[in-house]
Amino acid sequence: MTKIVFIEDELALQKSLGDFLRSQGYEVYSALNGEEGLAMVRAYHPDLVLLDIILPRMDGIEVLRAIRNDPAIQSTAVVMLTNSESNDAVQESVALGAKAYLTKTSYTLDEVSEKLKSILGS
Amino acid sequence: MISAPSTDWKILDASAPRVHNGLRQLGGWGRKPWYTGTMANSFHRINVVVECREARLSLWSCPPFLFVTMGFLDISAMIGFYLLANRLLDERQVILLITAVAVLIFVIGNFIIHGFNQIAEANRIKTEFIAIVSHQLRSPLSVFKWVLDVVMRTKGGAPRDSTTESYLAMLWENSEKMIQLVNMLLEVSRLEAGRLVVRAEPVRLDLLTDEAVRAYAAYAHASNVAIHYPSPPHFPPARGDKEKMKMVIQNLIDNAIRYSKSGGDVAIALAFRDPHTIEWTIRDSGIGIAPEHQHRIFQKFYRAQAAVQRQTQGSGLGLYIARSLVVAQGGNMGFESFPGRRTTFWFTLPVFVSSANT
Repeated sequence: MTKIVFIEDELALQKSLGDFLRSQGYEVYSALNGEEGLAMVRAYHPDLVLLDIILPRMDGIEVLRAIRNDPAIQSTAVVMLTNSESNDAVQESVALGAKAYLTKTSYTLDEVSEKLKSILGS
Repeated sequence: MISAPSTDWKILDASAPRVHNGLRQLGGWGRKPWYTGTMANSFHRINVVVECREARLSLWSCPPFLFVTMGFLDISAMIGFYLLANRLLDERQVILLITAVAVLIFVIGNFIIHGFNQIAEANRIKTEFIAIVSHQLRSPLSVFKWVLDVVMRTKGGAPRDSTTESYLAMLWENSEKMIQLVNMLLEVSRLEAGRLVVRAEPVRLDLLTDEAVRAYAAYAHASNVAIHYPSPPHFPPARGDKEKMKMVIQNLIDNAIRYSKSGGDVAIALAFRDPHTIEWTIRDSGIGIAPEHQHRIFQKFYRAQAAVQRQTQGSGLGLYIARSLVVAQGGNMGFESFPGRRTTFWFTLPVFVSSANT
């Protein structure tokens, strides 16, 4: 089963997208802050990480950097999923090897799922 | 007339004697306002007091007012010096007076700088405000979007009747509208803060148009407007930013449908203006833009009277953003309108040239 760690502090989004992905057959681990999320990535070695940027305790960019600096989880596929569109954040996450940068408000659940499928497939 | 006259202004205008001689008018200074009379209208344009009031600045932080004051001070100081120094004063007194006036001018100068800073600060705060508001609005909006998405696709449990379904559809449609509006506000705040970054990637305008036409099919059908778009096969890509161009094309198609009469048609075409420039045009059969509104159509928050009267929705931001985006990508945008018959909007973008080949 494909494992996803979903790091997002908004409960409603955790529930809506999380449950939707579960119904699509993914095994989804939900983390509500950056630190917890990073610990989950280390513990479960997921196939993909869905990562928000503005997060309590440790922001998304820091989490991404920590993943890239840890040899055990270095090659995990990461997709940024955020409402922040600051150019710095986009550039930085691309530089750190994020597979995609999705703006929450511009994607329906189906579109997110399609995007994930194409990333996991490649 | 730029600033709308307040009531006092009208009274002054009506009761003011008609003085045609500019010198005599200046001679009236002190006894009655110098700005009355036939020249009042032209003075309205430079009526600094009204300007400051509209900008909600106190007189002492209002650069236009301070400049005028300083100008008068300069003139009277020079004339005064001449007269005084010539007839009444000795050298020491003149030096003293000059020093005093110089200090006064310096102080007013400082007020002017302070005033400009306040204006710049106000503008910065406004831009920041838009950015923050748009950002904070997006979070709950993404919750609306996804939770609604979940609710609408839930088929288990009690079946919903068609009324509930249509209510859900309304919610969905309106949350999408809100997202679009917030995105536009964000785009404006980025434009104003000079933080707009556009990519220079190959953009298939033909495919983007295809996509947009399909997305607007339902809206066009509901408005009884036919869209004609003979999709050209293998049209070469333009150089621009795909996401931004998507926004531009959607906006132009949306406008064309919105302002078309029922039963009208919209035609989109893609062609070369010259070997290096791609031109995209959209012609509607709509109400057109009255000549007096044409020069303002790309202004921010501007909506033509006809648009307001028709009560069509719109923020007055779409065309401003569209043109700013196209210009930022090295293109241009314009239009040609025949009121009551049709309007054609066009934009251009450079042809994409792969850097690998050069």
